[in-house]
This record gives sequence, C-alpha cells and structure tokens, in this order.
Amino acid sequence: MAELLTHALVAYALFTAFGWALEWLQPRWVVLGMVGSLFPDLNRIDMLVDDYAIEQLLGLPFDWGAIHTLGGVLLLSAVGALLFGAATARRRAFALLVAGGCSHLALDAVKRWAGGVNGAYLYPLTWWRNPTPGWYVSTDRWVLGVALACALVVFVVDRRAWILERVGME
Amino acid sequence: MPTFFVSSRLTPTVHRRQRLLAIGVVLLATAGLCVHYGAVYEANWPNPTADELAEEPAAYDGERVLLIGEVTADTPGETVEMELETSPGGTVAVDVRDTEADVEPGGVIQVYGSLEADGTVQRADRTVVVNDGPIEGLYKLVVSALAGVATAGLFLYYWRIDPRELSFEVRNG
Repeated sequence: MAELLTHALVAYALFTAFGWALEWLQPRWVVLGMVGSLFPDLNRIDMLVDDYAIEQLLGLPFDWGAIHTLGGVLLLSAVGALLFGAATARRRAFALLVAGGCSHLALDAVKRWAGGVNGAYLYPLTWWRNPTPGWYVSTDRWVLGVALACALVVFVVDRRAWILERVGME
Repeated sequence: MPTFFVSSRLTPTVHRRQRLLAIGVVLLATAGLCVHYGAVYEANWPNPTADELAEEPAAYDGERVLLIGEVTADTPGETVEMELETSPGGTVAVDVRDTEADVEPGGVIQVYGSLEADGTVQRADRTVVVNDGPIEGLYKLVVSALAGVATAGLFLYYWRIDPRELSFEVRNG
C-alpha cells in the first residue's frame, strides 16, 4: 500500500476531474470515490483480528488478503451502496466506490516488488500477477508529494470561480 | 443487474429490512471470499510462505524465492538478519547475504534470491526496503489513519445518517 492519504488524494483529483465531464458527479459523489479508495487496505484489519485467530475459531482457512483484490472491492462496494436508500444513489455509490477501490489497486500495481511481480489483484477472476514496473515503494515521500500537487491543481481549477470571487472581494 | 439496484416501491420498513438483509448476505459472501482466498493462497503463491518454510526448511534450497521479513540485525555490507512470521505467531530466521540494504532493526525488507543451508541463508539478487525502520511503519499507519478520519469527515459533510431508515441521505444546505 502507498499510505492512504496518497490514495484518497489521487481519488479526489481523479473523480473531481471526471466531474467536469459528468454533470451528476458532484463533490458528494467524489467523496464516495475517496471512501472506495480506502477499501483495499481494510485488509489491515488483520493487525487487530489475526487471520490465524479466525481460522482457529471457524475451523476453516481464512485470509483477509482477499479484501485487497478486485473481488473484495466489489463486495465491500456493494455493502456501501446498500447503505443508500434511493435506487439512483445506490447505483452511483456503487460505481464510485468500485472506481475508487480500483484506483487504489491500480496505484499499488506499479509498486516495487523484489520478485518483479505484483500481488494477484484481479482475484477471484484470475491469479495472474502483473509484472511491476517498480516505480515506487510505499514509504517514498515523493509519491505523496505528487498526489498532493495533483489534488491541489485540480482543486484550484475546480474552484477557480469561488477562489477568484474571494480574491476579488479583497 | 443485481437486485439491490432495483428500485423498491415497498413501505419504508420493508425496504429497510430488505436492504439490511442484502447487506448481511454480501458480508457473508465477503467472509466466504476470505475463506476461499485463504484456502487456495499457498497453491497460487509462487514462493514458500513462512509456514511452509518453517515446516520444511531444506525443501527450497537452491530455489530462487521471494521472502518478506522483519529485520532483527544489520551489519552493513555483510549480512542482514531477518525474521519471517508464521501464522501461529512463531518466527523463521533467515540470514540475507549479498545485500547492500541499510535497515534498522524493526524495518521490513523483501528479498528475492536463492536459499541455502536448510533455508537459513538467502543470497539476495534483489532487495527492496519496505520500511527502513520501525518509524517508517508507524509513519504509514499514522498518515493512513489521518486520511481515514479526514475522508470520513468529508463524507459526513455531504451526507447524514437517517437513523429511521438506517441509510445515508444528502445533507440539505
């Protein structure tokens, strides 16, 4: 994982920019993309509730790692979408949560691995592991810097009217 | 199209019950996915897991594998000692040779290279420093937690919880 701030900022920038083309994609929907971008790292719940403890309890194999895959993102997004009452809201929420989760997986897919191949993020469709270009490791501060810069540029462009109004008032 | 997308014209209470039921079903499916993933993971992971290495230490000698471990000691330019955690909470110790990695104890590294000496020594072809010390791990955790709180705050700025319906509604004004 890059840390979650990077993921949330990238999702903000990405979906705010999409909003320039899609009328309904207002900030309240962009924030759902940001929520979705946190989903894959919910696998870190293993720091609180260990896989092995659950295996002992259930008597079955268990691995939270499934959350950090396409399948996990789809299911958690369905849970999130079902928390919305209206049918249109459910559809939009589902779309944004999935898109946010996928933006997280896409960003993680280009991280450096010593073996040169990534985790199998397309599970359960396939166990294929993409060769990773190894552009960064998750503690690289420049990744957060780039994400911050992108989010800032998008924010300024998105709110230019509001910003100009404020500046004009002074 | 999954049924949960279909508009319901039923009374609010029934509607709520249906949604909660659907959430329960999807959560069960998520648990099922974790069970399946856990059941087939080892077969689909092209390297020995810590558990497999603990069980048969010599079985992988001569093989090029990827191991991920926590550093216990680092003598720069010579050897890095790391520990792999097995699921029941035990550890497997591996000495990493031929690596230039400079890591504090408590850091995390990935090592790709061949195993020897009953799986106790790994000659590194490539090393990736995941965390160069315990502070790095903490940094990621804190920044991630902050991002989680900030995102939740932003979400609740735009949405409110309808306690009767147990759903999110747009905040007005």
